[in-house]
Amino acid sequence: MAVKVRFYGRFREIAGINEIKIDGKNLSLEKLMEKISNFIPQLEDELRCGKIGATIFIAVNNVLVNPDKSSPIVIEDGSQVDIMPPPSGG
Amino acid sequence: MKIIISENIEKPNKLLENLSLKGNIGAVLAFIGIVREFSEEGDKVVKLFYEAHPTLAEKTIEKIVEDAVKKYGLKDVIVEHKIGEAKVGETVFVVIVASKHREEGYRGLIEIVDRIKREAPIWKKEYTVSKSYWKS
Repeated sequence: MAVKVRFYGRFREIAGINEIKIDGKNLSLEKLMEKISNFIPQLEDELRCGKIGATIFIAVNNVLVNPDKSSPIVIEDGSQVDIMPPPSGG
Repeated sequence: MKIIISENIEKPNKLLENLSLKGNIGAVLAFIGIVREFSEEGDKVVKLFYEAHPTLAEKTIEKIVEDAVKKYGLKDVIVEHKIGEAKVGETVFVVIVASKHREEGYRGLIEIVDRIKREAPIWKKEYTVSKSYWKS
């Protein structure tokens, strides 16, 4: 098992791939971002400087990460994480 | 309530036929979003490309519609959003609401359209004659 990370829109194009698998158990969101950046350095600035809920949207198992939530986010083995730019539909 | 996110969306007049007009309905209002010929910078647009999250886009729109139905007492709502490529002049986003009076229909319609644009995980890439870029 691993964490499946999927990219959308602009982030998918920057990454050059639709998804990757990251090994690791009970990862913090910060640790996961660091691991993704190691695999895809061209996304590092977006992931490191991005503001969740403003310039970057993240969903864990189809639930959006709430930036105001005080409890730390732990990403379990087998989870699916979506990395998304801000909406621009319509 | 009906939500459609698809490469093949129905024409607005066809959607109107699906609207439930039973009950105490006095107004039907629609927003129809169309691909413009020129970008905000004045470049000629060739096409748009829409991408949506496979499950979260619909889930988010569902919640937005439910909120508006509750807040404004809307009787029925239909939302459709195109994904994939769209040409100039093509309909890409439709919201239709049925309400008892026009006032709550106007308010509900504006809120649903604005919130979908702001909150639903759908992304648009614009292709003009000189460049292409993701809109933000």
